[in-house]
Amino acid sequence: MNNSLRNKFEALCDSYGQKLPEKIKSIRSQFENLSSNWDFTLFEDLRRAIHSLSGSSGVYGYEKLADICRKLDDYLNKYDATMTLSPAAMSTIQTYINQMSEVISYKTQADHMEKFNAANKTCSDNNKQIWVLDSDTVFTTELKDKLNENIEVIFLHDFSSISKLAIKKLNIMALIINVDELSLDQASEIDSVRLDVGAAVPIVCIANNIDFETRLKAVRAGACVFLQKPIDYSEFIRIIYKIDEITVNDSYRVLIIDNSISTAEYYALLLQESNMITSILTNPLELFEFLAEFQPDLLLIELKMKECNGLEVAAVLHQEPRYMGIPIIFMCTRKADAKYLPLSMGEDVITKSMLPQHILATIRSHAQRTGLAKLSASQD
Amino acid sequence: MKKELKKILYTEDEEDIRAIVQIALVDLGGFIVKFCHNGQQALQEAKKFSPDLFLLDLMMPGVDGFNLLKKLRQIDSLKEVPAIFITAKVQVNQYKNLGVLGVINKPFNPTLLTDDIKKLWDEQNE
Repeated sequence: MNNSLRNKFEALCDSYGQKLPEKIKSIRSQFENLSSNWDFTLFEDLRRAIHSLSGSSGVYGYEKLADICRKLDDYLNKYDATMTLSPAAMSTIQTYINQMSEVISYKTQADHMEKFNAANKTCSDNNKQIWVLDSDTVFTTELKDKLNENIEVIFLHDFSSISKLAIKKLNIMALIINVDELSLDQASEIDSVRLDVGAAVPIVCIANNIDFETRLKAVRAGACVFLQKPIDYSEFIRIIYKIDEITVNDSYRVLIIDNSISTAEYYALLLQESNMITSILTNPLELFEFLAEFQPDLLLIELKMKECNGLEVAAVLHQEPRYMGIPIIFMCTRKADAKYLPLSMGEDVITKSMLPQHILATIRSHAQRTGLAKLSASQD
Repeated sequence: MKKELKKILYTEDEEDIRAIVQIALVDLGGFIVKFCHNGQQALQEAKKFSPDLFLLDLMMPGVDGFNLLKKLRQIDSLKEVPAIFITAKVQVNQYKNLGVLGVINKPFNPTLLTDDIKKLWDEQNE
C-alpha cells in the first residue's frame, strides 16, 4: 500500500473511531427507550444497530468491541415478536452496552493498529506493566526484549518488595515470580497480599524445578499458571496476553442461585462492578431453563436452599454431560460448613463473611483458569 | 478461458463499511465498483451496470441480501452473474443453487478483501 493510500486508510479509520462514542450513545438511548416502552419494532431497530456495529467495528479493527457486539447480537437473536425481555435479560443487555463504552476507551488505538499494521500486539494507552521477581538476568533481559515496547517491565529485587506492591494498580498485566527464590511461607504471603488488595493482578509462577514443593509454592502464591524454565517466550507472551484479556475484558457470565433475592442481588452488583455479566435464579428447580437461556461460565450457588441444597444442584447439573465442565462456587454462611464441604474438581466455596475482594479473587481465579483451559484446548 | 473479474456491484447498507470497501476494492484492488446502499438501488442499477459479480451484504433492512439475489436472478441478463455474500450469519451450501460462489465472513480484513474475492472467483473457473 503506498503512502497516500495508507494515509487515506488511516484517516478513514480515525474518522470511524471518532464516531464510535456517538454510535454507542445511540444504542444506549435506543435501549433506554425500549426499557420504558417495550415494542418489538424498537427491539428490531436496536438489534440491527448492534449487528451493524458488530460488523463495522470488526472491519475497522476494534476487535474487542466487535466481540461484545457479536455476543449481544447472538443473545438478542433468541427473541422474537412473541417474547418480552425479563428484568434479568434487561440487566444482561445493559451490562453488554456498558462494556461497549469501556472497550472503546480501553484499547481503541491498539486494536486499530493491530488490524492494519499486523504488528506485535500493543497495549493500552495507559502503559501496562509486568512485574517480575526473578534474579535470573538472562530470563528478565530476554523477556523485556520479546515484549512489546509499550509494556513496561518492572524488576523487583527481593520478596519484601512484593508486600509493598501497589498490586491493585489496574495496569499490571501480571506478576511473574520465580518460586525457586521463595519459601513456602513467603509464597503464602504473596497470596494474602493479593487477596487483601482485591486480587486483580494475575500471578504467573516460573521455576527451574518442578518437584512437588516448588509446585506447591506456586499454588500457595495463588498462581494461575505455572511454567518450567527454560521458557518458550512466544508461548509465554501469548499466555500473558490471554490472561490480560480474560482479566480485563472477557464477558464472564455468572449465574447466581439463591432463594434470597437480596443476597443474590448483592453478589450480582459486586460482580457487575468487575465487568462480569450476571443473572439471578431464586428457584433452583428452574435451573435447566435458566442455563439454556443464560449460558453461564460459572455458577455461584447458595449451599442451603429450601427446595434442595447447593451440592444437590451441582450433582443434578453434573448428570448432564454438556454442563459437567462448568465451575461451581458454593456460598455458605458459616466457616465450619465450608471447611468440610466435599468439593469436586472445578468447585470452590466462599463464606458470606468473606470480604468482597476475596470473593472477587476467588471468582476471578476461576475465570482465569477457565480462560486458560479454553486456550489450551484450542491448541490441541 | 477464464473471464476476468472487473466490475462488481456491491450492496451494503452500512456507510462505514462501504467507505472502507471503496479503498479496498477500488484503490487497492483496481476493480470498477458500483456501490448501492440498499436492495432497491441495486435493482435499479444492476441491469445498466452489467456487473461480473454481485457482492452482497446479507443482513440489510428492507430487502435482505438473499431476497435481493433472488430478485436479481429474475432479470434475464443477470441470471448467470455469480454472487458472493458478506456476512457472519450464513452457510454457503444452502445458496449454491443460486450461483453463490462463497461467503466472506464479517468482520473481514479490508486489506485482504481483494484476494479473498479473487480466490473465490478463480475457484469457479477451475
